[in-house]
Amino acid sequence: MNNSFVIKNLESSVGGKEILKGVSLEIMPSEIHAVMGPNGAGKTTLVMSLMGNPNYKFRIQNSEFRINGEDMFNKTSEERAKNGLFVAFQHPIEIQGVSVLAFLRTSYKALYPQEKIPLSDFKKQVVEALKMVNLDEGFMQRSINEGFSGGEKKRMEIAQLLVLKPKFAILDEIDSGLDIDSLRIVAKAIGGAVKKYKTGILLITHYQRILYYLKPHYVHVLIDGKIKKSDGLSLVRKIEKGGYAAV
Amino acid sequence: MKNINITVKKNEEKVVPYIWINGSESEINFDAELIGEGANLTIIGIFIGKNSDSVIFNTNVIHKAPKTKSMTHIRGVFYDKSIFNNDGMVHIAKGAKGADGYFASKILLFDDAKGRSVPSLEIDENDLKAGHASTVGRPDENQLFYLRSRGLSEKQAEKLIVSGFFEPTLSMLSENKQIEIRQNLLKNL
Repeated sequence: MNNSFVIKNLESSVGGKEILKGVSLEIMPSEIHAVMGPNGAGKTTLVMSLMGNPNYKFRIQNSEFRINGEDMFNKTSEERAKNGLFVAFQHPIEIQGVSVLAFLRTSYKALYPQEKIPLSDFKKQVVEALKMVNLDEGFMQRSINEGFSGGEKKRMEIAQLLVLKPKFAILDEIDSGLDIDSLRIVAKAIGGAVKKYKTGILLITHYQRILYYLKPHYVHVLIDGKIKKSDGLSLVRKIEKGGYAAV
Repeated sequence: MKNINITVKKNEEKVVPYIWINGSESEINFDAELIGEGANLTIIGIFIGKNSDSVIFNTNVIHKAPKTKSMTHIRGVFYDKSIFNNDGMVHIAKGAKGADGYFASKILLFDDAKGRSVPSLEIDENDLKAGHASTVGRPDENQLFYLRSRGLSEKQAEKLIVSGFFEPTLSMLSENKQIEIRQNLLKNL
């Protein structure tokens, strides 16, 4: 199917241990899907294997992973990115001596080789994105994530999302380590990307709070490597009351 | 073989860079003496080895006077089958009270390159500060994955990581020297 992010019956194991036992999801542009689940449910494995981390491998028989109809299984991480996939990581990586601006410029050129944006215009876009997540423009010249606080790293991931305009974005526990004000800012910025770029969102989280700001169209509960239930926001309240056992 | 002799006198401050990019010398020996009180020396070594390059780089820094200070900073990136061998000696002689000697090296290896960096301290004085830090390693998998997840090819990711790797050391040099070396690096990564 075109214009969609589709996974069907995904299975993945790490170090010989089966973690994902058949996960299926379909995300359309501008849709927000939340995946909730207890520790050890397979959330990180899902994220890492979707982005093509070499340490997490899918078993690809009887499974499907497509973006806009194109098969992603045999593609490298950078090819997946070029097909419009983005991950806001739970633990963003620090890279010494490489400025945020130089990194984003290289990345943008790789993703959109046909566009020729002058550096001065590109800088403006970066500054605007930083402003959206309440980071001052000085962050542009700093080394990637080096010396950033936990919250600053998370906000920088979202700033990157705003600059790189992916078709589909996986946000891995973007809310952990954020105070209430930052949470509101980040949720608003994500909502902005959904509206402006029609980015489809897969939001992975432990906590309910961000869901009240972002209002996902669908909530899925991942337990023991499988999606146990999918529903609307009402499912969040159910979990809030009775825990994952209530699902 | 190339021998470089450096003498640093009383209250004198020297920064001596040695850049080996597409170099031809196969063995370089630095001999430095801090002979006057308050002498201050920074040695900076920057290396990029490729193909079957083989480089021996030895530094020997002797503190002979009180309150002398030395820093040796080496950063090297080696590709293909290139080889790097480095011994770094810091010697605090008797009478060099309050001397401060430091040696730091970071070597990044790609492909089948080999690298060795061994600091040693020789101390004949009680009142001093001295230290060393050396790492020889491969590019960080998590960094590569992070950059590739943003659309950079493996080669582009490596290039960016390597350019950043030299930055902290470059920043110790004068502005002009920094620009010159950065241009040289860009051509050779």
